[in-house]
Amino acid sequence: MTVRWDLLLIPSFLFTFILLSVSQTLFLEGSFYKDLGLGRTGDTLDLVNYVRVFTDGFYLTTLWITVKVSALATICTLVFSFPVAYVIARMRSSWGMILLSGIVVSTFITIVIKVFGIIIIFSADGWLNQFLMSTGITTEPYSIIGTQEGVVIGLMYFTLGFGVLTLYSVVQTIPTSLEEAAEIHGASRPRMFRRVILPLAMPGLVAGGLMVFNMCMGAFTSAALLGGGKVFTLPVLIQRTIMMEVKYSMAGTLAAVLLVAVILINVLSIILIRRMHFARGVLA
Amino acid sequence: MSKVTFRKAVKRYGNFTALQPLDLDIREGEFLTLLGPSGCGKTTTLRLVAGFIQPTEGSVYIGDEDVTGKPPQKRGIGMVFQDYALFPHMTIEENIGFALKERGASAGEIKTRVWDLLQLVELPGVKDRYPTELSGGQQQRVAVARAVAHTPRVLLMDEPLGALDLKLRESMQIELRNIQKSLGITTIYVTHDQIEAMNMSDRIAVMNEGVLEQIGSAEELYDTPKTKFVADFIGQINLLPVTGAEQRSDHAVAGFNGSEIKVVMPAERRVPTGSAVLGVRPEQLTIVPKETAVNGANRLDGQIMSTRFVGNVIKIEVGIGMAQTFVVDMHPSAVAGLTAGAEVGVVWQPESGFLLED
Repeated sequence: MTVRWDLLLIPSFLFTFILLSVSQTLFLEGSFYKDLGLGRTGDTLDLVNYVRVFTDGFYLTTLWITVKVSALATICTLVFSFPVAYVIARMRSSWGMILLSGIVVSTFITIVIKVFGIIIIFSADGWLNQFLMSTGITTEPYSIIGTQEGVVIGLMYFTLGFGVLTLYSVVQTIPTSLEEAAEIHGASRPRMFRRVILPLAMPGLVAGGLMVFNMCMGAFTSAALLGGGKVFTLPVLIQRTIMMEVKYSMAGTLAAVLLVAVILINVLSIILIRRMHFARGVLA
Repeated sequence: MSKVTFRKAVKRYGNFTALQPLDLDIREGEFLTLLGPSGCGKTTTLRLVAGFIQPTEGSVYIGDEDVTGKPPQKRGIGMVFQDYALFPHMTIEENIGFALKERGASAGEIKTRVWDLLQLVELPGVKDRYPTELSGGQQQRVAVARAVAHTPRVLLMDEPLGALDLKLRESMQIELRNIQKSLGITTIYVTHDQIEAMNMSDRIAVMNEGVLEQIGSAEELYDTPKTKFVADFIGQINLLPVTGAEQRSDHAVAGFNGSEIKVVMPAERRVPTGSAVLGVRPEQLTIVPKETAVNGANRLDGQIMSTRFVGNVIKIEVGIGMAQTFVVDMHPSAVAGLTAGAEVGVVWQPESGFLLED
């Protein structure tokens, strides 16, 4: 008799499926009924919420800002985390593992605590401004709280560790002998990096980039705290729409738009990358 | 084509010395093999030429140029790696043309050169394929073509045949050697396989624990090893600890288990002053009936422990007392009656043995 270990999957599958699909179905279904405010919805199927989202400048701006800050944060995260990942992956001593553990630990500290660190330092009466003003470098406090730059920094702070961990494993798959082969056959370090490391890391950079981007698109805490009620991204707006405006079906509509936008951007990116020449031979 | 010279080159990692002071002259156009067990310093020596590491002390010269401290890009060499290290995202043409492109060659030049090289390594028509679409042996040829494309001053090879199966390895040995000869390029080859080293090299440098033990042709190393390590590493040998080794007028003597052993060595070889071992190759030994008079030759009596048929010879292991054994290579036609348990004498000429420091 064969042991059917795969049967063990059924309980957790059912549990997850019910929790996820029931709530999402309710949410999605709600988005197709007109929102009458104060938790009330119309009783006929209607696209009026969607029409509103795509005609109201406020919602469109929010969608654009969400994509923009997420894309900026993704690019910055990749740029900052790749060198770190590269150096750690190429370390031969036990320092590599120690540094990596440090990154893991700091990555999984809750973002609430980490964002408060940013606020303490960068807010209008924070340490940085106190220092700048006391030394006379600036006369007026400048704060990143409530600006899009602030939200980008918050999102980066949230995703940097994940970026390093992903790219670390990408760099590790590139044998050092390829670097040596490039160098001994005449490539300088920058040339070697451009002709060997970068193209070989590209599939990993794309996958890691999409992961970071998706995290940013859905990030609530860092966007809400650093947005300071002035910068709205879709997750922040959805929370506001539910909790403060009590417009359930409108929030459902926004959530659906966010979901579809994320899926579309991911699929388009993958199609684009597939078409590029350098992916040949690596993805094969 | 350039010679390569080491002058008192040392490589240390903290307290560990990977390479003891090395003086080595590799001749122009020579095929030199660095041979030794893992951790003997052969790869360190190769990487010093490549420039991946720099000597802690001393210098490395390529031609007459002191390249100590120079990065690998500026040394004008080519290298074949153990794992081939072909760029998986480039076609065969792009791989082979890599060094030429880095030197600013035109697309037309690269195309012609790649075509020539693919003829040389007998792989015409693969230029648009990717490395993963080739077999291990084919990838190896491409790696060789890439390493010589820019006519480097020196070609380095780091155990390039290690990943191939035995049959392919043997044919690749001959092929690599032919390519090297036709290009006349100075080549430094690293291996731990003594047969491979003997098949391919002009000279072999045997290394052990960071020390160059001996350098010479395969024949020299086999016939006149200077150290016990070289004697043991190159070919098969019987090593017998002996006592009271001393030089007499025209020969040397040493004692084993109450018998006196006579050794006649070339004049330049010294009898070791400390403890000594006697070395004698299995094919120099013959087996005679016990207590046969041997007239000037050496004879040790003992009992056959086992016999092994290995094709061209039969290896007979004879216990000769003091828990020591001699392996004797006998022609299969001459082994009648030589079975385990038989009492026999092992005989060799004084000129066949040599005394080495233990």
